[in-house]
Amino acid sequence: MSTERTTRFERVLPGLFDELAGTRTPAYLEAAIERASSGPQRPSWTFPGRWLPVDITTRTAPFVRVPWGQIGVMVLTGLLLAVVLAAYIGSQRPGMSLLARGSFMGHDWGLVEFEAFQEDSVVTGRMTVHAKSPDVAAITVELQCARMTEDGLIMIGGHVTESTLAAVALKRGSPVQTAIWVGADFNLAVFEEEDCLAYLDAWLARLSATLSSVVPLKDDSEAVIEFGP
Amino acid sequence: MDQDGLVERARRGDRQAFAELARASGARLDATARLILRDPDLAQDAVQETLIRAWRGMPGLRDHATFDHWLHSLVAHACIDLIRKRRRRVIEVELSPAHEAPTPDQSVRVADRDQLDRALARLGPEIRAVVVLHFYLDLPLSTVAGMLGIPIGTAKSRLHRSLGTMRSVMSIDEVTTAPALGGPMA
Repeated sequence: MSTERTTRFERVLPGLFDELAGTRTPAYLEAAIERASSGPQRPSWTFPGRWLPVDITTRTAPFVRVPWGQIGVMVLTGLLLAVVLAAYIGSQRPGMSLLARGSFMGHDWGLVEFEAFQEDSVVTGRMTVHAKSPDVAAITVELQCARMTEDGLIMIGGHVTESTLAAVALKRGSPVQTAIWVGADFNLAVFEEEDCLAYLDAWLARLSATLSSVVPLKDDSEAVIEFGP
Repeated sequence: MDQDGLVERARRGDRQAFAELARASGARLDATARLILRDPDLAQDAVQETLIRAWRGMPGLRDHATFDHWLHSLVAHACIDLIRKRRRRVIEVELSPAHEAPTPDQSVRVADRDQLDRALARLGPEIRAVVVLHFYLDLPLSTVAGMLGIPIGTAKSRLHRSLGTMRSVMSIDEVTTAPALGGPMA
């Protein structure tokens, strides 16, 4: 019944509209026509339809309801992915190349684990030096400098504390040679270098001059070490 | 001369042909504008603007058969533009019936017309444009939507809402059952 009413209601509307609107010609029409046609017409070449297919120029642009909710979710997802990607890239140390990483058993220490990267003169990475005794806490070293000699010796060092430095010494070969130095060698005069490179240079000098007096590099067939290019 | 010939001449800058076309459509344009705007002065402005746009745009009208639709589209847009420009200045007035005083047997019809007038007053101009183009100019909703540059769904929604409003204002039973309304449309 409702449908019938709607239909009948809508059917009578056009007639009512006709009556309401009337059919008289407005008195102002002639003047309006005169005023309108007194101006120039737009040149035909300015209409896109003259140059483009008619269906393109006359077709109403399709209206697409903007899915704001979905767009919002996509934007949030995109931001999240961007953050994750940035974090991943940041963690990859872009531009840094591997200097050396691996592990070996120290001469007077326990397990030494390290990973060092280098770009130009900048070195980053971390080394953990475990003590032989399980009661002694491991030492963590933020690696920050490196020295390499022509005969293949690689020394990588960093601060344990503000005044204490440590270094790992490696020499390519088969087997690889390793050594771990923490602080000064008490068998020698104490050197109190606070600069990382100076610390490495001091060790290098002692190593060259009095090889037998310092903790020597040892052949270490059990060391697991990967060198960079 | 037929409309196609007049359109072709008007396209080529023939003012006389354009005047003939405008005269033939003038009453319809004026009525459409009055129904949408409910203000005779604004309706006059809308028709004037429509004719100016039509004259200027005639050279671009490629399909002569679409002239009437094109003109109706122009007047609808002119109305909506005026509404937007003068939204705060629109003073709606009751439309004057274009006929002489009703005879007694026309009284029901006149009452219905008055109700329609009151119902239209309850609708916003942009919704009235949909209603007028659809029911007065008898254009399909898809065409109305295209003319007004709105999605077909929006046109349907506006029409649906307007019908609900109009039904609530008009006396449905009277409108749907009155014998005087039967006529050729019922």
